[in-house]
This record gives sequence, structure tokens and C-alpha cells, in this order.
Amino acid sequence: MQQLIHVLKTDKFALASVIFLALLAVLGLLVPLVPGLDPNYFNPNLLLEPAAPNWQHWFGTDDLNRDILLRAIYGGRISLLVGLMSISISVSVGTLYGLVAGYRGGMMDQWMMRFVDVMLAIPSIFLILSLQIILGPNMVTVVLVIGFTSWMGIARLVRAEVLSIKSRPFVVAAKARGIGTLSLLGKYILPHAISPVIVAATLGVGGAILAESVLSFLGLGVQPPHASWGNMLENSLAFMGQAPWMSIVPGVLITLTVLAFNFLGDAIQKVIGR
Amino acid sequence: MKRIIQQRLLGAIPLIIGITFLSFLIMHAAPGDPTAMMMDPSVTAQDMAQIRQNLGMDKPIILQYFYWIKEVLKGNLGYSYTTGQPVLSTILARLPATLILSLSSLACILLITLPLGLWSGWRAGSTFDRAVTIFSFIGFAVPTFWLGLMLILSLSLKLGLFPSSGYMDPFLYGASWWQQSGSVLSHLALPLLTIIIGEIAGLTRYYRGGVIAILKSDYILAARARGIGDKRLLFRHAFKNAVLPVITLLGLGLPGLISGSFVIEYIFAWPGMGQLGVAAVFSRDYPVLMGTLLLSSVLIVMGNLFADVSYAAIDPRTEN
Amino acid sequence: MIKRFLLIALCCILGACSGPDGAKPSSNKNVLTLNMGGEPTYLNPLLYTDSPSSTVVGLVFRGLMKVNQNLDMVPDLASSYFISQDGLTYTFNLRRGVKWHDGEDFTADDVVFTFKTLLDPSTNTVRRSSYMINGNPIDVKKRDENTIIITLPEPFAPFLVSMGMGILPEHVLNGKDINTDSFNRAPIGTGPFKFVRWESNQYVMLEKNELYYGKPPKLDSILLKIIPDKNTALVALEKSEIDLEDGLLPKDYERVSTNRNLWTYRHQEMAYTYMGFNLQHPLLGEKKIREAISYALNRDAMVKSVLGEFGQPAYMPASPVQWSWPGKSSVTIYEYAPEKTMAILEELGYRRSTATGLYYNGQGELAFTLVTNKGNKNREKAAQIIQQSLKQVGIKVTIELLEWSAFIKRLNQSTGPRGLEAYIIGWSLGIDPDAYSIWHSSQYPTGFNYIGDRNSTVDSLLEEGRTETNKVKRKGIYRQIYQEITEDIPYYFLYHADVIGASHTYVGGLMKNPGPLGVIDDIEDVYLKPTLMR
Repeated sequence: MQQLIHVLKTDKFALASVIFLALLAVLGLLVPLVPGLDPNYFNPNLLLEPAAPNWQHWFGTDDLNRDILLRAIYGGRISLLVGLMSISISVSVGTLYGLVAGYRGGMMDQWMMRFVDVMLAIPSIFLILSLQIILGPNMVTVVLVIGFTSWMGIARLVRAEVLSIKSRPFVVAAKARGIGTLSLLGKYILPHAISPVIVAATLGVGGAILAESVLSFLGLGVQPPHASWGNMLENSLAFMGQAPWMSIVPGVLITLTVLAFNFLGDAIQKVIGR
Repeated sequence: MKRIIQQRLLGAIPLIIGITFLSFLIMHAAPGDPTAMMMDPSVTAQDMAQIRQNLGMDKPIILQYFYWIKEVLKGNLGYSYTTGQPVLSTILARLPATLILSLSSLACILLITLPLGLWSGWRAGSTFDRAVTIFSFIGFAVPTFWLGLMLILSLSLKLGLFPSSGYMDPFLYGASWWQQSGSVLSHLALPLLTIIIGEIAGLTRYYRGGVIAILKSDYILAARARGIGDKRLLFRHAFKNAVLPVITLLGLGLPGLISGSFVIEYIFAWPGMGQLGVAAVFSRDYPVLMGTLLLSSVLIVMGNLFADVSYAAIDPRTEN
Repeated sequence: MIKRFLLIALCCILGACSGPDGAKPSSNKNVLTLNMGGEPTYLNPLLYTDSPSSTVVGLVFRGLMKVNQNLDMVPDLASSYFISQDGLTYTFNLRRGVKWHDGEDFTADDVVFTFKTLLDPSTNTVRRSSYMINGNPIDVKKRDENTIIITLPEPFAPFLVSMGMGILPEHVLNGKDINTDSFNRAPIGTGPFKFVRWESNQYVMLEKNELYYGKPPKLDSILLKIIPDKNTALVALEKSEIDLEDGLLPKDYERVSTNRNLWTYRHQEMAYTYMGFNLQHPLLGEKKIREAISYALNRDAMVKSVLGEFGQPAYMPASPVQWSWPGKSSVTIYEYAPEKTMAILEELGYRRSTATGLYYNGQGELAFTLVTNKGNKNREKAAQIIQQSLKQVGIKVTIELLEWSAFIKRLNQSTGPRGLEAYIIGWSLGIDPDAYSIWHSSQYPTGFNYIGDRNSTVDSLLEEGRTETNKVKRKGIYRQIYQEITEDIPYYFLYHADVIGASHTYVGGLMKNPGPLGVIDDIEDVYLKPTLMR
């Protein structure tokens, strides 16, 4: 932890990333508490067209006359949540899978790794599309689909770590003392195998946010009227010529957020790599 | 060496069966079927049922899979549900464009990232290193479809440098090979640029990390102690290390080469396999989809084999 | 620095290849370039179901009859036709001297072969039902080399319309499997343009048919490109990579209309978009609820917001360009009056919650799910406006956007009380007003009467409408049908969208005021002005 703080002090990009992400989180948590701000509100009796940035709407409005800034803040909540949740799934599944495969070894390991090969061999876009079509698009399925199609890399990573850790003297000694499998895994093996996972997870959040935007591009992302950066950007593409401001806010926010997670991952790697 | 090849080829059979069977189940679990594309108020339910029966879709899924396998073993990949054309020729027609885009992007990425990564690692912490880090990360972070569209608007519409979309000028059909390649290259520019910008970060970081690790290694320290110029050493060492990721990339990257970059193909109207596959998912064209997956799984097996054999050739110890 | 240099170098290398001034290699031919928007499926008039194929098939094939700009059926491969007094026997005299693109003679055998293939159950066609009347097939016979006699099992008013389908060459297809034959990728027809080449996902190239029996086409070739992304297609139009683009979105209108090189046009389409209610559903099956929903929707404002100037509100299951259109005043319209919505709901025993602002009763909140297909921006926007409008009167709507195949599956399979609640989709209309397959109660639960409408008056009027051959009487019948339907609100009719298109000013021979069939009346008349000929 101290090392992390030290790196943040010296690495301005990592510091800026933390501040930026914290700002997004704070805005996402506080703005919904302000009464009378509804990101989905519009008056259906008016002529609904995108409006250019003005004093009332700093970043303009979308094609339903809704404020882009407000929607971007709400959309940020969803995009960040999708990113974090789906990575939680892929990290949990991947870590558990890698632990079991690496620890048990033998035929079990062989079979489990062959299944990973199969999952990796199916081009991910087909897998994601088909699953999303089966489950039907909404926020929960977006999280599930991204999570359950991105755990394989982490599983391989953890398995490789476990394989090398389990023959080390301190693990062998612990085993000799008759410690149960679960606590052996939890107390001795996992803590040593987890560092590369943390780096992969941090980088993965950015990847998941991008994956959500691609799902939105294909029309299978978060459903209206709820905003996510992905569906805001997708919706804006049709208005590139007429209302370019519609795409700038979500596009820039996605880019900055993914960038921030990358810098953060980089910094964590520095700490762990020592 | 022979043993590795034999082992790998035997191991490939369950892998290919696993891939195709799993995807067959997943594809068929998706609601809807090819007849949804034929919606029209003049169609009757009986006609739809008749078409389903003609296509063999009234049979249980397991049977449909075994039937498919049986035909594949006879060398018949079946006929597309949406066009009635043989799946094999449908896929082969997309192969050139797919390979051109994926191989050229692979080559460009390697050519660009190798010097960038080596130099950044060598001068880690310098302004150059930081600039490379930031720009390559930005390239990774920008959503591809947004970037692609902006490149079309700026480089194609505003500056008129490249055609907006397509593969080859249709009027060059039958023209000389030289003219045709020129046309393909100019159409290739924008999709290629979009892919490169997005993917520069990955390998650059990899090489950079490698160089930093080498610089700290005992080997270099010892060499330095002996007074050998480290630049020469570093680059010899680093280049040797650079060969391995290329092999891995070629081996593991093959499924990606086949599914291609759907988003890029769609935006730039590039006639590759990605568009074919995604259209097949949306229209539930199972034969085409299975053909695509079969091809990609065969390529993966071949890629893995190639990687193993090359590793063994470079470093005999890996044979065990 | 290195990276930038490399990128610039790359751009220069690639840029240099496109020729000194970036101009496309010119051919001295008169070639019209269009965008089909997607890869065709079957270039076969019996088998295709998609719009890219329909474009190509329309240029390559000809039918016995064709539609003219007044939406009447006129002879084409037939030189004349004759209908018997009882409306059962149609005699077609075939045009003489017509050649297939491969030089063979067109004969009565081709016509017989085409319909025989169509009626064969092993042919994967969706068109068969237009040639089966109440389950009985039509009978097609050749009297002599130039005469065809078609006998119907019973009178059928829409029959002549279905004679527009393209005729296939028997000498090429006889004995082949029509579903998988390579003919479907390299067709031979009798139309003004013949097939040259189809490069997968790139383009289809057609060239002038020198043997064409009609006016000789002015164009040498037509190049039909495949550019799926609408934004890219718009750039391609602006850069003259395509000459004409149909199906622009309303929001693109301003951008193209201010471009001096482009001529912008619009025309009405024979179609309507609607919100359908599941009439078997316990809530939406109640007419009072549908009435309450209708009163809460401001159709005019919605249509303005969705389509701008490029469309009009829809009030009934017919289009103003159809001859059966009785006029807006002949049908029941529940005009926007949100206070009536609330009055109805209170009367039905619903109470409005002060916390959520929603109406509720003993069974819970007044809510339903609205489903439509993803990718149609107009429908997505309309769905959100409906959602917001109903929210303001205390009705909760949840939107679900589904991918097309999944959406159709849901429509087909989730009938009954627990099925889809409400959905937005459109019907494109034929030249004939017959709408038996959409409204007749026999078309539920399998068929296109997804909503489960069971109105015996409508049923008998529909049956009468398709067997009556007198146009004036039919018009009266359809007026009654529209009245019955609009009164009952099984659909909330949304809009008729216009087709917006633009062409380069160097394209000549287009319709000045295009009708519902599009901007190209006779493709034979279209030409490129010589100064800009490529």
C-alpha cells in the first residue's frame, strides 16, 4: 500500500487517473441525490431535435432533447459498473478455475485446460453475440456475457502461478503439517498467485468498457432510456454530421476512462514488479 | 520432433469436436431461425414450416450435429441457409480480403512496435518513453468504430487521400496485377490505420518490459563488467526474444485473423470473414457459421503446432 | 516521433498507389453506381426475401406483368391478357421474339416451368401462398408456344399483382436443384440488364442487355456496391463513389440538400409503422385501456420529432397512396387528450400513487413492456417518446430492443395471454389492399395476426374483399374494414415514413416527382450527363 502511494506520488499519470476515476465515481454517486434531475426526462410534446451546446445545456442535448452532460454522468455510473462487475466475474471465475486446475493437476488439469483452449478458440465476437442474443440485452446480461467470455486468460495465468508455487518449500512444509486443502489454497497459494491477476483485472476493466461500447454498436448493449457511454456513442454516430457534439462527450469519456485504468494497471505493475 | 507433431495432431481431434459441438449448441440456443429473414405478410406459416423441413431444421439438435459432422468428413460443408450456395466457396471468396487485412496489420504492428518498444525500454522514463506510452494507450482506449468513422470523415472526405470504403475498384477487374494491388492498397489504408492505432499499445509494452527485464539481468550486468558494449548485447538479446512473441502471435492470433475485425470490416465495407460470420449469427445461417468456426479451429490447431515446432527448433529444451 | 514518421510514410506509400490525383481509374463507359446496403442472398425471383436481391432481380428479370407509376398492373412479357367472365381463367398472350440473356428464345415452357417450380414443396420459397387460393394451387398450362392459360380454383382479386414475379429460364434450370444451384449467383433473365459479376460483399456488376425487347437502356452498366454502414455510404455519395443513394435518414437531409452537387428527392412509401397490442393479454386486451393509451399519445408531435418533415401520421392499416385509402375522415381517430386517459383509468378503478406517479389497482402498477427491433432509429425514438408520454399520465412502459431474428421469434411464438404485450413494427403494403393474412382470425396463432384479433365482421369482410373483383365495391369493403379496425384499436397507428434519397446532378432520366415506386421509373431512361461521364 505504501509502495502504491509512493508510485502515485512519483507517477503523475497514475495520480491523475486516480483523481479522474474518483471524480467520476463521486459525480455518479452524488448527482443522483440532487432532486429534479432526471437524465431520461424530455417533453414529448415538443419538437425533439439535438440542440447545440448552450448556457442551459453545456454540452448540448441529444436527439430527444435530453441533456448530454447529465446523461453522461448517469451513463458513467453504468459503464463503470459494467466494467467493474464483469471483471469481478471474470476474475472470480478465472482465479477459482486456475486454482483448482493448477492445484489438482493430472488428468483434471488436462481436461480443464482443454476446455479453456476450446473457449479461447471460438472467436470471441461470435461467442459474445450468440450469448447476448440468447440472454436478451440488458445491463445484467451485458455484465454476465462480458464476464463469462473473458475469464480464460486469468485462469491460465493463475494456473501457471499455482503450478510454480505449489512445489515451493513453504507450501510443501505447510502441507506436511497437515493443513486442509482449502486453507492451503486460501492462505498459502492464493496470496502469492494474485498479483498478476490484479494487474490483468485493472487493465481488463478498460477492456470491458470498450466491449460494452462494441455491444452497443451492434445494438445489444444497455437498453433505452437508460444511458451508457456505449449506447450514447452508438446513438451519436448517426448524427456525426448534424450534431457532432453528441459524440464528443461519450467518446472522450470512454477514451479517458480506459486510459486511466491502463495507467493505473501500469502503476500497480510497477509496485508489484518491485 | 515427429512425436510432437503426432501428439498434437491426435490432440487436435477432440479439440475440433469440442469447439464445433459447443458452438453448435450455443448457436442453436439462440432464439429465432433463418426463416425470420423471410418475413412478409404474404408468407403462410405452412410455407415457413415447409422451408424449415427442407432445411432439416425440424430434427433434434444432436442429430443435426451428427449429420453435419458426417457430411464434413465426406468433405461437404453444406449450403448456406441464406444464399443456398456451398459454404466452402462462400468462405473461400472472403479469404483473400481477410488475409490481406490481417497479415498486413500484423506485419505493420510488428514493424512499428519492435523499434518503439525496444527504444522505450532502453530509455525507460524518458520523454520519448512517456510519449510512446501515452499515445499508444490513447490508441487502445478510443472506441474503434468512433475512430474509424472519424478517419473516414477526415482522411477520406475532407482530405480526399483514400477511398472511404470497399476493397478494389470494380473497373479494374481483369486489369494488370500491378494496378489491382495498387487499388487494394489504397482501399486498405484506412482500415489498416484504424487497426494499427488500436493495437500498437500491446506489443510495444511487451517489448519494453522485456528490455527493462534484460537490462536488470545478471547476464547484462556480467557482460557490462567484462566491458562489452551493452547496446550491441541488448539488441542481439532483445531481437532473439522478439522472435518468440511473433511465433506466439502467429499461433494464437489465428482465430482472431479469421473472425477478423468485424467492426472495422463493417465500417469500411471490407469483404472479410468477420462480416460473413456476424451476418451468419444474426441470420442464424448455421452452416456458414459452423464452416467459419471449423476453419478457425483448424487454423488454431495448425497455429499451435507451428508454435510448438518452432519453439522446439529454437530451444530444444521445450521438447519435454 | 518514429511512430508518427512511420504513419506518415505509410500514408504516403498507400496514398501514392491511388493514382496522381486520387481520381478513380476511368472507364469511358456510362456506368451508374448505386449502393445496395447489404449482400444479396438469391438472385432468383422465387427465392429472395431481402431488399438488395430485390434490386438486382428487378433489373435482370421480367415477369408477365409489371406495375406502372399509377400502381396498375400492365403487360410486360405478356403482350396482352384476357380474364374470363367468371374471373377464373386468365389467358396471357406472350410477347414474341424475346430472348434470354444467353440468346435462347423465351417461350411458354419457361412460364410453365417457373410456376411448376414455385408450387413444388421442395422449393424453399415464401411466395407459394400467393399462388395457392384457400389451399388449392393455381393451374398453369401452355396452349401453344405463345399462349399461357392460368386457371384459378376460385375468383381471387389480388391475383394479377402476383403475375409480376420474374420468369425463370427452363433451358438453364431444368433438372437442377433450384435451392442450391449456382444460377442463384449468376442469373440469366430477360430484363434490360444482364448479370456480369458478383464479388462477395463488394458489388454486383450488370451490363446493358443488347437483346432487350423494350427500349434500349441508355446506361452501359450498373454497378451495385455493398456499403452496409449508413455513415460510410453518405461519405461515399458525397465523394461520388456512388451516384445515387436511396433510403437516407431524415437527419441527413439538411447535409445533402445543401450540397450543390446533389439533387435531393423524397417519395412516399407504401407502408405503415404501428404499435400492436396483444389482444389476448388480460390488461391490453381490454379496449378501455387501449383507448386510454391512445388518448395519452400526441401522434402529430411524435411524428414530427421522429421523421421531421419526412413522413405523415398514420391512422389506419392502409397508405394514402393505395387506391383503397378512404380518407382520414372515414375512420375513427382517438385524438390526443391526456385528461381523458386519466378519467378512463379512474373510472376503471385505478388510483394514482403519489410516490411513483403511477396508476395502480389491486393487481399492481399499470405497466406493460414495449418491444421493437434494434437498429431502426425511427422505431427506437418512437418507443422512447411513447414511454415518456405514458409515464406522464401514470403508465409505466419498459422498452426492450431485440435483434431482428429474436424479435420475429418472439412475435411468432409468444402468443396468448402471457405473450408479448406491445410491440412496434411496420407492414409494407402490396399494390392490392388484401390484408387477409394480417387480420383474419384464421391467421392466429400461426400466421401474421400476432395480436390475436378475432373480429367476425372483419373476417367476413376480408373474405369478401379478396373474391370481389369490382374495384368500386372492393373500395367500399375495405373502407368498412378500416372503420372496424380503427374503432377497436388493435394497433395504435404511428406513421408513414417517406423515402429520402439523393443523386448526383449528373444523373439524368430520373423522375422529377417520384411516386411510391421510387425515383427510377424506367431504368432504360436513366443516363449520365456526358460532361461528367466516367
